[in-house]
Amino acid sequence: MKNLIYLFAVLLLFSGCSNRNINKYSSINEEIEVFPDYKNIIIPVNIAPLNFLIKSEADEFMVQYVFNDEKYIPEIDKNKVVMPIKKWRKLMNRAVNDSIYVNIYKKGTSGWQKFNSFYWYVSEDSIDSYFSYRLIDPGYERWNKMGIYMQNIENFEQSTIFDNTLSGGGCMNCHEYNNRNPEEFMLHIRGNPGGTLVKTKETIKWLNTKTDFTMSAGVYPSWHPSGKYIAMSVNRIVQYFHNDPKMSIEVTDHASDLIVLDIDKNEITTSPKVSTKDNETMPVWDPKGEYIYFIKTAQWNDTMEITDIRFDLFRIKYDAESNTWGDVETVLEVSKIGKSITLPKFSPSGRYILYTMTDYGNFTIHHKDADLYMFDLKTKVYYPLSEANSDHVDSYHTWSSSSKWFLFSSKRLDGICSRPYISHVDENGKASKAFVIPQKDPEFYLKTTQSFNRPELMTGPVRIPAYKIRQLIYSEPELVSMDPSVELDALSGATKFSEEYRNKDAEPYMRSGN
Amino acid sequence: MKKLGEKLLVVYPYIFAFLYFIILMFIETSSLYAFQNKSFLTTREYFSPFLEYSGGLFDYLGLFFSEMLKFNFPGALLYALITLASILLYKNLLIRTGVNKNLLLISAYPFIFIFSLTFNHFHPLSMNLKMLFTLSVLYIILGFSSKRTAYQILSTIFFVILWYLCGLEFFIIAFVYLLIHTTINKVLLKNTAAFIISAIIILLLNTYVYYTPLVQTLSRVNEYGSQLPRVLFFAYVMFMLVPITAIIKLNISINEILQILIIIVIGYLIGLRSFSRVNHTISKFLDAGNKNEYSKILHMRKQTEINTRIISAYTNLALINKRNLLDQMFIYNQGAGKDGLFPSREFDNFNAYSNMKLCFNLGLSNQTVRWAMEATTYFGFNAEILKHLILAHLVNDEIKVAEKYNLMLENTIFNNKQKKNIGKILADYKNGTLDRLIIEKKRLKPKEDFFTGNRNDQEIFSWASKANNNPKAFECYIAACLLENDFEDVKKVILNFRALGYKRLPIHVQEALCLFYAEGQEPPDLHGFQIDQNIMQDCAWFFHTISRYSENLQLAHDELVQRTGNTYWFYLYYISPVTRARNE
Repeated sequence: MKNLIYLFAVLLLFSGCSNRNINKYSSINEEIEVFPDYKNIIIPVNIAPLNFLIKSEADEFMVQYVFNDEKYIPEIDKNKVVMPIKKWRKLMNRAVNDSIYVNIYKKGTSGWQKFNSFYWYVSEDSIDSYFSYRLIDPGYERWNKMGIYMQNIENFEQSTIFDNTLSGGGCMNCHEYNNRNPEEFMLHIRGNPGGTLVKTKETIKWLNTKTDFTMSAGVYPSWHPSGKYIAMSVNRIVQYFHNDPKMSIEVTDHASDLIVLDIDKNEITTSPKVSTKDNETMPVWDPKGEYIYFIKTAQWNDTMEITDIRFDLFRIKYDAESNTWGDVETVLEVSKIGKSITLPKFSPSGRYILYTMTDYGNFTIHHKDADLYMFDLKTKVYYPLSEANSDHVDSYHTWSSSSKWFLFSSKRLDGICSRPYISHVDENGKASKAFVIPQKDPEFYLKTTQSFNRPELMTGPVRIPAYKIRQLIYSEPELVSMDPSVELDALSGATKFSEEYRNKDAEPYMRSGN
Repeated sequence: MKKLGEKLLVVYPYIFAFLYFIILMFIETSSLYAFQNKSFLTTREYFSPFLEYSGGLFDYLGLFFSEMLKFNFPGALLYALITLASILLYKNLLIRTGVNKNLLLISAYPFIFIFSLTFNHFHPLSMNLKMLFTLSVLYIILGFSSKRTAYQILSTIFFVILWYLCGLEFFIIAFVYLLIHTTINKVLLKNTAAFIISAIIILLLNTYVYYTPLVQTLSRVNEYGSQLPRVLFFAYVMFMLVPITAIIKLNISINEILQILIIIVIGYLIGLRSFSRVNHTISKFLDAGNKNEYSKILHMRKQTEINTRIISAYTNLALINKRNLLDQMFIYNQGAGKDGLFPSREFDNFNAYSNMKLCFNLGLSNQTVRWAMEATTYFGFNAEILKHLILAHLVNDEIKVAEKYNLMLENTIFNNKQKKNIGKILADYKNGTLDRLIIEKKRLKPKEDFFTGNRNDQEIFSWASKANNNPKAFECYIAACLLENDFEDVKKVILNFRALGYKRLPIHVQEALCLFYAEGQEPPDLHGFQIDQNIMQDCAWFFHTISRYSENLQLAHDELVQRTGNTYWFYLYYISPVTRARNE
């Protein structure tokens, strides 16, 4: 028995900081392909193990993670490389602000051969530990099987926030957190039951944000840093289906305006300056909550080509406490160079606006040309994040609390399904090579046909149980009212235009794919 | 024996329930909250996929019963017969073991709980309704365990009528019935109190468990189709092991077992008739379409009086494939108008499937993907849908996505022929050799981009009007024009028939062009084509007959239908939804 215990102890010792070595090998000066592509990247210290597949053939593979003189051996099953979390965490903590080199060897007829190593630079900047996302098949068609889920970035754990088997199969999306805080979030649910769930630190509300004076319920949201207000757009959304596979689906607005929801008062307000005949949409507050940034394009008319719709970036000062609006100012005009801005997102530091740029339109998840761009508010320079971008769609994005990382959805793996990617931002605003969020099974992204839609970083898990959400949404939603101080003339823009559509059966926007 | 019976009744279901949750939830992590398939066919092709995975047979049986129990008198009768069979079993069990009825009820809780969970597709309300319903049924079974046969029969009849009248809301009526019943039969008063308390306890328990994180986590993506019927029948069979065990122990006579079996078999046969006739017919068309049996579709269409837009769509799909659309389409009822050619989007229907096949036929790969995905909401990722997804993505040069769907296809046990064919096409593609089918679809695929909206597929047809390399699409366009009473457009594209190599104009096109002569309008340029003299004569006769009846179409109908019922003119005047809408 004693012998067995000794043997077990020795085995344990060897399984930890392993010193398994291949003494004799030859270097073949050949790059090894791995899936997902985790080669030469910067990773946050708290990331889960980067499990991967070796895309080569051999009788046997051997992999070492080398940090200084220490070698860590992951588990290898044929070409599948999986690192136990505890061992990985130990390695991460030791390698902070340093590089880990990944040595991959293959065994063939001529003995062990070593591929060129690649590295992982472990940044001390950790990333927010959770992200939430909508999971849905590509396109819009299987919208009756979707849900909002969350994943722990540190340990792969996935769980359900809410899925539509609990809400009669209705659509849901635009889950948005106030400053990544899972205690304060909102979620639109469409269909019956339908409405907007708003969870603040103190309350949870189920609202109907559609009024007689607005063309739709609130759509694209952004929380005011105080947590008291949410800026939203109201949109008349339509979708078309391309014959060209590069585009597949086109989503566009025939009208849109901006509103601000006062959560305490259950009241929305707007201004003639952001409810014009032009289309204003996708509002976002600056980190101080002084300005609402938004994108805008000219009024839609039936003679327009969808490919002629281009958005520029604007802002308007808005004092939420006193409900006073400033004037609209142009921030970034790209339409004149034949481009269109969408999804502007402020870094928490307030220095950068990360946005998606495309040739036209604002719903870019189906635009192959869509890329991420950074606008440096300090230098007033914008530039593409070339290291993070790909030849495929790079679109919806979210900043980490530290402003050092951003998470975005990209279709680079197969051109159809969006996947969550992470990229590091250095002190000069330069993004590093992006990598897909690791999963326990390295084949996960090869197998799953569903898209990770609208990924949002969170500082922790959403703790409100799904049953509470369900209970709430099956109650009658509270109707929001229109700010009585807003003169009806203020609604003479797109809102009035929407009258023409009032009886038309527009497609709910959440069915507009991913 | 009594002790043994009590042990069996109480211990076994609870152990089972425990194992059920442990095994099913941890091994089958997608066991709950999936959507259930809605169609059921008795064909071999329908049946075989259910053998492809563990528990599939339970799914099959579950689908049969869940479909059958939904509606209709025969379904209710079958349920009643099964109930009666259960009564016989339990009556014997009760009499021979002397087990307390309340104990029996307690023993049923796990089953009721699992039953209600498995039937919960949408929300706890539905679950609780069904749970209460089941509880009521079980309670009635106990009530039925009276030795008075006449009373049993009367109760059964009453039960059937209530079911027929009330459907799923029956449980409310059943509850009222119970109260009346127990008032008459005071013996059961005690049990009624037990029933109410039990119902409350189970409601609370049910609601609590439903919302636990474990169960919520299980609502994670389920890619592998419905598990619900399997769960139900797994639970049911396991639970029935209790009385079955008792039967073995108690030596129930062969006669009794035979009686029960006969009842179940008769019930099954009756149940087959309880399916919605329309849905069942549609399913047959779908099944034939699945196997590309287009002659069979046309044959079935002639045999059935049922005419829905989906059946029309399959008929037209068959005609398109046989290249007879413009010669024969008005032989069949086209009362669905253009919707019978390309059904507009509607959820929970079969149209997505036919549209998928139609779009693939026409070389519209994006549209094929779109409709295939729509079809999965109804049918799941079955082999036929996967095949279309793979091929359409290959036409779009999206090999990585095609490989994902191929992986799903590969993971099925059957469909070997499909797997082999698709596997070869994929391998060829990767080697740079395109399969003939892919080449053909790429050739047919429209080179220009165009949009289609959600509810309006006009764009597809207007594209097809120019499709001079795609005769099937062109024929669809012409058919759509005819179905929409738009023969003016037909006149404009006659030259395209020449470009596509037609030796003569299709019959229905000739019929449409006759209208210009019959109505005294400027005759169209036929670009060298001619209109058959018989068609001209029939056309003249058609309008002459109408004028003979002083333009009274109702009076002229019977005479016209004899000679010209299969013509475009008849469709135009009597069947076309456009005409009907205009007249109304």
